[in-house]
Amino acid sequence: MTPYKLIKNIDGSVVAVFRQADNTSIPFDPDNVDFQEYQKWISEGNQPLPPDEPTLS
Amino acid sequence: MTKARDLSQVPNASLGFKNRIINGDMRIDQRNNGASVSINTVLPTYSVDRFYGQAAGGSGVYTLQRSSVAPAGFSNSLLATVTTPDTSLAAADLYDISQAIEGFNTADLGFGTTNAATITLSFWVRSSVTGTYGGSFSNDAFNRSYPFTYAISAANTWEQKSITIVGDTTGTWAGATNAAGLRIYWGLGAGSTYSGTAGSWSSAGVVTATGATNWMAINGATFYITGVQLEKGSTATSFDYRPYGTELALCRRYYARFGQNTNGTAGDSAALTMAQWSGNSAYAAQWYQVSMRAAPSFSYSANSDFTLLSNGATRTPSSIVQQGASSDRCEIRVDVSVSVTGGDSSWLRISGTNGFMAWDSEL
Repeated sequence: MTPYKLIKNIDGSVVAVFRQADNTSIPFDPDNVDFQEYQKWISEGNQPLPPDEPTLS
Repeated sequence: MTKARDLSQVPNASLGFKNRIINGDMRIDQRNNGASVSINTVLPTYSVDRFYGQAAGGSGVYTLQRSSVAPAGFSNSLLATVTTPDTSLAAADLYDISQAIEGFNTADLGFGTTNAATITLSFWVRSSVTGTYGGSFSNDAFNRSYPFTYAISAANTWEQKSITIVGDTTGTWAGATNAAGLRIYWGLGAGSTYSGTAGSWSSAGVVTATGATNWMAINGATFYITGVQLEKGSTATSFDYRPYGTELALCRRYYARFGQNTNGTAGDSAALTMAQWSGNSAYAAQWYQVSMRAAPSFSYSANSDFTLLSNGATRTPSSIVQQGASSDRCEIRVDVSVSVTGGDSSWLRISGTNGFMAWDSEL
């Protein structure tokens, strides 16, 4: 299973990433250690799942 | 004696925030509330607030948990117990307990400059295994270390230890930033890669001293520690007892967790007041009780532990995410698969006994 899935805001911006194993939302903050782990994972050639689209239903 | 002379005789280190360690008396355990956690990865695994364990290289495993076994003057300690021993340490094997101190709380020590201060670490320790134990001070880049030793001469007996070292005048240190200004390690067993000669700074990343006891070798071995204090100067002074609320607030700069019964209330617990942006998504602005070190990660237990209430109906979330986080606030979005009326207000409850929401900005 891909461990990460992007999170999109209502304005369409990708603002965070969701770690599916433990229900964790990770902000794009270089000082956040979870984001540092995510960046390392990306640098190894991996890609997260695309975000769900915000709904207006 | 004049008042001026009185004050002149007060050691500088005894005023203000003298203990740079947070939760040094191991009282606060937001994550686990006394439950044991297994340490089996090099990634920091937290037990009581601010203290984490690491295990790497070998097959050994130990647990950490808050204990009520403590020396006079303390109510709690951090207990480590070997559950899978490592009797033969390979070079890259590593087992330790650590705390990282934020740069804003160590900048005045002047590490990396000619004004580097002498510091003193003191703590109470008790182990089922006697011997010479080791530890280390390190920078965040893990390329400057000062290994130290201390002796545990009697098994299962509380002993207070004090380590005084000169500050590092070279190397790269975090300074007044939110990065780790200093990491302190208590070695429980490490191979040659992570061991160094005690008593001086070197350009290496190590967690203990060469020749230190391999506590991890004995199944069921126990190691307790409490009353941890790091202060400026060459003398270990009395432990800096801080009010519980103060200590909890200090901890919440790095981790904050709210469960169903965080404050002793039973039944469904309020979590958030929300508004329905759409039928399937509710939003709330959340301000943290304490500004956090950095924009935190947000986690929660399980969707089934939460209930979204709106317009006379209840729904179980299909996901809960944080977006737009900064160090002092964020937006929480709760998605439900069964539509609510857009524009309605709603609120979120933690309805599961073990439900929780947590924000983590540890170092």
